[in-house]
Amino acid sequence: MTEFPQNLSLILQTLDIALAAFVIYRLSLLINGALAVRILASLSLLLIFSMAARLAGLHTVHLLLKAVIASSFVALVVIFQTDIRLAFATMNRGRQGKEREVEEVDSIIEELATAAESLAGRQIGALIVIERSMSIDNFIAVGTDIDAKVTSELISSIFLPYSPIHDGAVIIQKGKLTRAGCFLPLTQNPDISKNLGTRHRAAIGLTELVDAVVLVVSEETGSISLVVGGHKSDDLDSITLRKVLRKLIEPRWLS
Amino acid sequence: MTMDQAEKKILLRVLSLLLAGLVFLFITSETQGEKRVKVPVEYGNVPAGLTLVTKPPAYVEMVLAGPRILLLKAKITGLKLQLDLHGLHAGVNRFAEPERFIPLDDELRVKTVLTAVDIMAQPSEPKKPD
Repeated sequence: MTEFPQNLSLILQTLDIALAAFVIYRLSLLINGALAVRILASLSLLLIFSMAARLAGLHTVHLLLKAVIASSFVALVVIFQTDIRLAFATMNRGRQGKEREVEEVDSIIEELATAAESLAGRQIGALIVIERSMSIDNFIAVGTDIDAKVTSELISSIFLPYSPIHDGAVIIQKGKLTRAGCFLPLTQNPDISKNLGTRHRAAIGLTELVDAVVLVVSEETGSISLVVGGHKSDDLDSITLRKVLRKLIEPRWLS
Repeated sequence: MTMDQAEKKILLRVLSLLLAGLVFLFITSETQGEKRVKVPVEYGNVPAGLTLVTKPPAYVEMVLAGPRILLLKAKITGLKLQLDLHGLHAGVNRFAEPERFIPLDDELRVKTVLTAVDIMAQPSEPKKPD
């Protein structure tokens, strides 16, 4: 007769863990993938160390870790308040809203790809940064504020050799072209080929620090590359470029 | 979806499950629980001139209460009841609170002692001169 309550308790505990895991997973999706992995792993380690300290009788360490764990949940909410607010806002939007967002993303991607192809065809170098979940404001220097709709004509004209802001990068934030002529941090990675140009070095340098996507058009070869997380994909054709951009850019980063 | 993203999602799921399990363990480990334990008994300091007729039991069974993680620690490290018999007198000696002789964590307490610790002593017979 005692088996039933014991089984029930086991089922409830399993359900408890499964529901908690589901909530944690859904919350972690609001944050950039690599960062979410690091945060989840760090929190897991903190919990393990805290329990180990308790078992070992290290009272001060245990107390300290307990305080860190308790405050880290509040800290995470504060740090990711923008993502959380955006996620809740998106949750309340209907299907139509989502379809409109997808259309907007497609339109921006189309404009970017058209501009890149046009510049590549004329062997004009270009550097286009698309901000995702992590802010790039702290990593870009100088530049001219623009705040305009993303169009292929505007991007092409910015990179034309006689344009005063053709050197440097164009920044796209929240679906708008916000700045041009910006200088990006160059990569310090010694493994990167010395033959690589400044544009590619800048693209790699920035993406090593933030999760932005950088589109590079080579002035020498006229090839189009995409750089994410410090890794470069070269010689992208028209179809692949659009396909990869659609995979990398989610509507929530452009609204 | 690229393979990289798929892998990341799987990794996130695994880490979420791990974290949920750890949070569950962390919370459960701090909840109050009870555990029945058998504590081995050691004794010493028998006063000179007294002989033990009934020795203390080899084990004392008791119910411990406190945070589950400390109960687990007690089980891992093992407890020992060290009876100090320096105040023993001839006759039956009853240890009403044998738990006083167990070095326990501050947050752990002995709820019930299930084995009585009675020791019977009698004066030793004086050695006869040869």
